[in-house]
This record gives sequence, C-alpha cells and structure tokens, in this order.
Amino acid sequence: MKNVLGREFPEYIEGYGQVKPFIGAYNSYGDRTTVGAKRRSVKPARQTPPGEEKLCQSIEELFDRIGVKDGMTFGFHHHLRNGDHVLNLVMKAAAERGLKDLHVAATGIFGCHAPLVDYIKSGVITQISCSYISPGPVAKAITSGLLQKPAIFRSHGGRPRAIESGDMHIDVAFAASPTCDPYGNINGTHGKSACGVLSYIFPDTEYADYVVAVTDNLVAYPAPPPIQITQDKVDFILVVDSIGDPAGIASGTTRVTTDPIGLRIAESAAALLDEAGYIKDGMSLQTGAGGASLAVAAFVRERMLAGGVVGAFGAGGITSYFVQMLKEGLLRALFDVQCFDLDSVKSAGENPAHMLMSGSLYGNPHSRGAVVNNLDIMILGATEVDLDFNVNVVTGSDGVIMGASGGHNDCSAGSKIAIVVSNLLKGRLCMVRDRVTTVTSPGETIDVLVTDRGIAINPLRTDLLEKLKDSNLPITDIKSLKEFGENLTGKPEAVEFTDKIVAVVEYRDGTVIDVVRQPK
Amino acid sequence: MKLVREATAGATEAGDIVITVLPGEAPGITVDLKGKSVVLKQFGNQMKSVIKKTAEDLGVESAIIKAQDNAALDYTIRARTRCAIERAI
Repeated sequence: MKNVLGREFPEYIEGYGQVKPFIGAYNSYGDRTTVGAKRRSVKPARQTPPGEEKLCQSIEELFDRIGVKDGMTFGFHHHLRNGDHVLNLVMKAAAERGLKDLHVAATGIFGCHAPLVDYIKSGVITQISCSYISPGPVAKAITSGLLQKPAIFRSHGGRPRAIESGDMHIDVAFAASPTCDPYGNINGTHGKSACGVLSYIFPDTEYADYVVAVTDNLVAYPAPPPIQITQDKVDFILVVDSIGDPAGIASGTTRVTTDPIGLRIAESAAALLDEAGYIKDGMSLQTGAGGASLAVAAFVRERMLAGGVVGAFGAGGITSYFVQMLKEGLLRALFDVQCFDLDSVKSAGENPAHMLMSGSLYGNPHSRGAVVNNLDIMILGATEVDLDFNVNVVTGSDGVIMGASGGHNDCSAGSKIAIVVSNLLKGRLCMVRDRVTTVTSPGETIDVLVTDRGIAINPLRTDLLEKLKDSNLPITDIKSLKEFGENLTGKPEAVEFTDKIVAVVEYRDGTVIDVVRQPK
Repeated sequence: MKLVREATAGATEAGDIVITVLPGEAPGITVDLKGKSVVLKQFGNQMKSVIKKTAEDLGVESAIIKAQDNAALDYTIRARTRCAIERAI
C-alpha cells in the first residue's frame, strides 16, 4: 500500500494493526466520538481524614491495589525531561514483579531512560509509543529492532487524539507530581523537583483506568496554587524519595544562539516575516527552544519593539525568552505545554497570563479547535527537507531514530506560516534531499525553508511568492538549494534498509504518514 | 615522489579531518578512513577516492594513509592530504 506521499507499507503491520494511510493534512475532519472512561468513585470517609485511602506506602502496595498485570499500557509524561526518575522506578518495580509484555506510553523518552533497554531485551516492555525521543540508547534499541512490536510515534496533538478516540487505551497513568496533597491535588511549579506545567499527562488523567500521582513532596491539603490536576482525577498517591534530578529537569536560562550562521538564518527569517506582513498587532508566535529557532524570536522581538507591535500570544514549549516578552508586554499571554528552563517554571507558577494548555488543547486535530489553529507564525527545525517540502525530524539520513514528531506536524498544519530554519549543510550532509528518509510533516503544511545559503518558498504558497517577488532577501527555489549543497558534499550513496518495520509514524489524525525500517 | 617519514595534517574540529601519511611497504596507496557512520555510509567511498586521487596526483606511488574525519568537505580533505604528504617527503 502507498499513501498520498508515495510512502509504502503493508496494509496490516504486525504488532500495530490495520493501517489507515495518510490522505492529506486537511482531509480527516468532521464529527468524532470520544470513548468513555472507567472511574472508581470514592465514598466520603466522614470520621477519618480523607486521603489516607489514596496513599500507598510502597509501589508494591500500589501494584497490588491496582492489580497490575501482563500486557498493560502505562502512561507517563516527560516534563522532568532528562532528569526523570518516575518511568525508571515504575518499570524497575514492574520487572521485579515479573510483569511482561508491557506497553510504555510515555510522552517523551530521554537519555536518562537507558535502563529501559534491558527491559526491552527481557520482554518486560514489548511496545513503546511516544511523542518525543532523544537520540540515545532507547532510540538505538528501537532502530535495531529489539522491541517485539513496532514503536509508535505520535505528535503531541496526536497522542491525546489517540487516547480520546480509543485508539490507545491507558490502563495506568503515572503522573510525576512535584507537589501533591493526600487527596491528589497536583501542582507542578512548586517543590524540589518543580518542572512547571504538566500538560501532556492531562489526557491520561481523563481517560486512564487508574491515575497515580507519584510525588516526592507530599504537602498538607490543599496543595498550593496553581493546582493543575485536581483530586477528582487521581486514584492513588505514591510517595517516593525523588521523582527527578533537578540538574536534568531544566537548565537555568535558555539563551539565543551565538553561532553567526544561526543568527544570520534567524535574521533572514525575521525579515521575511516582516516583509510578508506577519509582524503586526495581535500576532502569535511559536518557536522551538534550540539554536536558530529561538534566535528568530529574538529578531522578531526587536522588530516588534521598533514597530510598537503588541502580539496576542506565544505558545508551545516556553523558554525564558518568551517569559521576557510577556513581562515586557510584547505578548499578552503564553500558552504553555512544557517549561524548558527555571524562568519559565517560575513564571508558570506566578503569572496568570502564563497559561497551561493540555496536549489536547495544544494540538488535537479532532477537538473543537486546538490552539495551533490560532497560531500565526511557527518556527521549526528539521533533520531533512525534500523537494516537496516534506520534513523529517524522526531519523538521521542513515535511518537511525534520533527524534520524534513532537508538535512539529500539529503546528505546521495549524499555523498561518510555518518556517523551517536550518543550516543547509549539517556536517557533510545536505539537509535538502530528493526524498526525506522518513516523513514527519507533509510538505503541504510547510511554507518556507530558510537556510544560510538562501530561502525557498513552497510553490503552493503563490500568495507569499507574489508578496515577496521584489524582496531583496536571497530567495531561490528548493531545487537550487539542493544542487548548491550537493555540489559541496557530493551525491549521497543510498542507505540500505531491511524489510523489518521498527516504528510507525502516525500523522496527527491517526493515519500512517510513514514507517521506519531497520537499517542494514 | 617517495615518502620518507610519518606526517600529519588537519584537526579534529567539526568540518575538518586529520590525515596521517606513512611510507608504504608495498607499491600502492591504502586508505583507512574512520569517522561518523552517518557520513561514512553515504560519502565514505567518495572521500576515500578523493584522498587517493590527491596522493596520486602528487606522484605518490606507495603510502599508507589514515584519516580521522569529522565531516570535512572535499576541498578540506584535498588540502589536508596534500599538506600531510608534503610534510612527509
């Protein structure tokens, strides 16, 4: 079977199921039904302090009370990032209990989750689905086909959609809780492991059979504001020594790149936005937290200051840079799904205009309207872009898994202008290819590629081409960028793959946009 | 052109390559290229032939060339190879 992008895969994938092929970015909307959720009501205790019945003294007791068994799906969220202890401690206990065939439905997997590789090898974990994965041991294990079932990569909006529609059922959700009271009110911005907003675990707390708050900071009822997850969602509370290592959770302050090439790219992206009329009152903006992406925000800020522009909101993963723009009055609000640094954690806890949004509110295509639909400007990164503007953020050009969709295809689909910023050459590799190794975001949702060697505008955006036809910006076409790059690098030899599918890449609507095969 | 000693040129920084040349024991030029697999898989053969051709064009008939790559482009590879050879004669 081939989908509309010409990506080939079987109609049925063992360990995944029947495939719904990708049919275009804007062709699967309409009436939707969500599944029901199981919940155990809690009787008022009246004469004993409420909460004692929810507290578990040990993870063994917790597992007994839930009745965990083989084949279950456990939900986790990744706001503790590379400092997370919760996923490892739960899976260690599961392995010690002799559980098998578990599905780890984590929103993100980091280097700190290396212990999972042993559980994959021993069959404790047979499936992983995630929205983000950092290059590292687990990504390598998936690439080399160690998982019994293919991994499933869903976007940040696609995961809530899958949970709400019943495509993915969570048996037990483990909410890493920086502060929690004995009746299950959770605050993410306070406590020694404060990580900010807990946005990505929201669908799990609504739809999982059991919701467990895992905390290292149990406080008297009620937990201090802002309470993010309320007691009516939480079955059990497990107190542990530490849910995370603060050094891995957040860096102090995220800084704009100082790399002159990155700055040059960012400057042209900001100039393009200005010339095309996107920097104006009421504008909204989202950027990635890394390198040149964040630098675009810096140059946009300068242009906003110069023009006296007041924007509506900034969105996505929030950095100190956006917090500063909020404080300066350049943005009226922030919609936050993840705090990247300590400044944003602090702001999320103090400033009512710094608002939490759940993963579903952020990007779920089958909701009554996600925030990405309100977004004007989206600045994105990419590993590869092809001549049709399809973007890969999942695999390196050697087929090794080094990332996952994150919010990439949610934001590119929703925003008025989606700009990919990147060096044309990454090391010896030209990032513009005839065909990307793996498609994450379809070209019809990507409008502009800004590189250090020129800017290419998607020919579908005839309006942009017309607006910028007299511009002094170095506008060329994508084929010329590829030729320029390949003149320097030479033509890459094709990387060979086996037939084994190690990961399925879902588009945000649940259709399959591509698969990852094991490289030879 | 005959190599008389071992010599090195280049650096380990990103975009560069370290080329070490040694006099060969037998006629012919052998190239041992190491680096990131993502680069070698797609460009390894091309890089080896650039090194070999640079040596041959300088009239080298026998050499062992070791290369430690950090994503260098062809012009860098040519320059480092030539420099190492000139230091070895």
